[in-house]
Amino acid sequence: MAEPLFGLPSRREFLRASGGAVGWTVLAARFPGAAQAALEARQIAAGELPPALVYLSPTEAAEVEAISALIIPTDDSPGAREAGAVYFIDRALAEFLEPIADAFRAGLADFNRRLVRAHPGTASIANLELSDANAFLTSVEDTRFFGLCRTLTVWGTLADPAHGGNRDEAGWRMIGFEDRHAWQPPFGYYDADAHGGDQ
Amino acid sequence: MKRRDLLGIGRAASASRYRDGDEVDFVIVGSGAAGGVLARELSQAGFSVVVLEQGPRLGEADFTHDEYAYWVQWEIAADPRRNVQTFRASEAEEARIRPQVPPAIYGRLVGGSSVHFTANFWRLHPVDFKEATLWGDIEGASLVDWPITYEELEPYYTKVDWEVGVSGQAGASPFEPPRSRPYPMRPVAVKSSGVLFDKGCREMGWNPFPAPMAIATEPFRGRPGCIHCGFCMGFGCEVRAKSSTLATVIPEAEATGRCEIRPESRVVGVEIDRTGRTTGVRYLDRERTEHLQRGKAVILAANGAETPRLLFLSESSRHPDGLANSSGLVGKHLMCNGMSMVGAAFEHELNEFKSVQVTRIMHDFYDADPARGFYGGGGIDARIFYHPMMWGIEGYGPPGAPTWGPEYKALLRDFSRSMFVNGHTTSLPVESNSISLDPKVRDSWGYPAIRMTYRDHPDDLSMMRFMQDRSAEIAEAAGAKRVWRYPVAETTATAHLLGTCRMGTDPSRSVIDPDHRTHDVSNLFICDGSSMVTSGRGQPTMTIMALAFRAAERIGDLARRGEV
Repeated sequence: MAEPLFGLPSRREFLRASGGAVGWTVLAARFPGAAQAALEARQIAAGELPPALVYLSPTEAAEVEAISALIIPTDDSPGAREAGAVYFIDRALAEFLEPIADAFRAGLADFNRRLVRAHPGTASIANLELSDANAFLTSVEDTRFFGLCRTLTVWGTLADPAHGGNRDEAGWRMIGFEDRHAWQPPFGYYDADAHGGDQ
Repeated sequence: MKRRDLLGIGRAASASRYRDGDEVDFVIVGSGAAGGVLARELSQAGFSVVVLEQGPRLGEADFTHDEYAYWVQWEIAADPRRNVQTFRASEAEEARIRPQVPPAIYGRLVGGSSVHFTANFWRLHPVDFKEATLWGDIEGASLVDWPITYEELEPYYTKVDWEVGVSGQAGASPFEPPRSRPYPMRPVAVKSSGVLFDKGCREMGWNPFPAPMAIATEPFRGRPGCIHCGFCMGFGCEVRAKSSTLATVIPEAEATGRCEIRPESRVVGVEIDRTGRTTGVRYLDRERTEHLQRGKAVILAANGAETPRLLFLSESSRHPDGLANSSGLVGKHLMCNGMSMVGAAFEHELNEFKSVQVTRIMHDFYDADPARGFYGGGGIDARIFYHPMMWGIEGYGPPGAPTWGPEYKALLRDFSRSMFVNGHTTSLPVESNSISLDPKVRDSWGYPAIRMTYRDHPDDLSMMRFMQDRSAEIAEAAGAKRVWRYPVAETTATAHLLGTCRMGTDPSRSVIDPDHRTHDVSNLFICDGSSMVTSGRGQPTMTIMALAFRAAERIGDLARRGEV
């Protein structure tokens, strides 16, 4: 079985959380709000609560959102911005990916330093023309920060809304997925004529 | 692991039948495909049984469609941050920790991997049992015949069909091995992938047929039929239609009143007395308090990675290289099965996210063929392989495809129009491919981590490439508008953990005898994927269950005769 190409952080960073029993216990101890967080995420997804940031600052979140909107852009269908991928990323960094949250934050700062070097006086990639923004992203696409940002953007767009992103299932609608408890045949175009009692 | 379990408010354990200090007839380590079957068979035969399972007890109401929880956080599988594992391709390398995707992927809950597996249930064919005779020596491999034949195992495959629950269509494949009864349930309803696979195969002159699946397609032995929710591979069935041991034989074992399934009990050693017999096992409960469970006999059914690990952990002055390892073959000959993959996008929607993973397969290349220039055989199926999150990471296109931006998004949107055509193939037994204890890294219980050493035999890689070519031909012939290949690469992670305590009659060349008794310890038995002598062509769980039915009968007979 091929190993999924997660593009997640290095072993060493994860090891901080997995260095034996203590590491796991610490990680578990940091999760006591997980059930509450999932409930809140569902309420946010249902429009009952406004989205709230738990780890990233508003400025950081705006930058991450701008990057995510270049990774999965909005066109005639929703992109990462409409899916609220940044809220998934924010929650992930506060919970499951807490061990790498500092590295993510440092990566974002480095991203912005590079941006300022390439475009002096520019505070955010959101301020660039689209072609310049895409060119800049291409110039950093081999960095670990971008790889992580891309992975988390994709997850934040396509994960279960319980985790804070994929708002209103916008990501799922964009790719044509729908989560239901049950389906009945026919399932797709090509099996429409195949179910004469064969169910 | 469920969050509430993480928080220490897990569900109550099933009622205790036995107290600390009680000696039972059989202690079974592991409650998966083999352990669950053994528990039912032995308890129904009148024996007292305790099953120790390292994972929690969950039920259908606990399972969800949450891909992030199951495929990233490994909630119901061995979590690589806790069940730490290391990997290396060869003995010359230093093994490295794999914190994201464990090399050995297995279910970690009552029911084991039979809970989260895909449910492809292929029988081995007669040829699988005697390929050493047919092929002779293969350089770099230790291919041997099984000490049993397909004919000996056939009645037990039929027991799996009828007592665990397999759906399919007898006689549909011209390559089908002999079977004594038809399937008890009609095959799963064909999906668009199955229709397209049928078309592609027939264009090529091959013989597609309905996939045999361990999924109830109609009410069966108190369970409902599949409701086509689409979450099998990596997920637990929410209606008990998937024929896991959790949904089938385990409740039947408990109903005897003689079997206790004890979850969150991590076995760390097999006890051996001065006469060389086992007296039971030591295990840690969820608070990590150590207990001794005494038994007249012990059966290890912990899977092809955990079983050898436990034997190594049980080393002693009498067994310095690990328990039951006088042959030196414990942990050796690991076989993972090869897999190759082709993606195919079509003009219209397939909606592969609905219903079971696989509905059509083919076995035209099951048998090895000297004309190919290498050993190997396999089958091909059409399936969904990625749920949305992992589709977005790597499912939408091959390495090198755009990873962001408008072109990437356009590929993402092929999700509902795509399927995968996967080859499932042989792995040769190679002695240096192994499970061992990592000398430096420990798991979160403080015990040496599982270390996997694995490099596919060159013939295994050749077979994967051969099958990938056939898969691409099927996809093209089915009319795909876009076909992409995932480069065949060496295996670094697997859910098939086979061959590491192989069965044989020669104590110097095998670990267990044909009764599943270890050659070295008369009342210690092993039955799981480690017992397999050859790899089959993927989809080993059917065979593991059949072996367990057969082993339970033979071990029960030995016990009744006072020969354990």
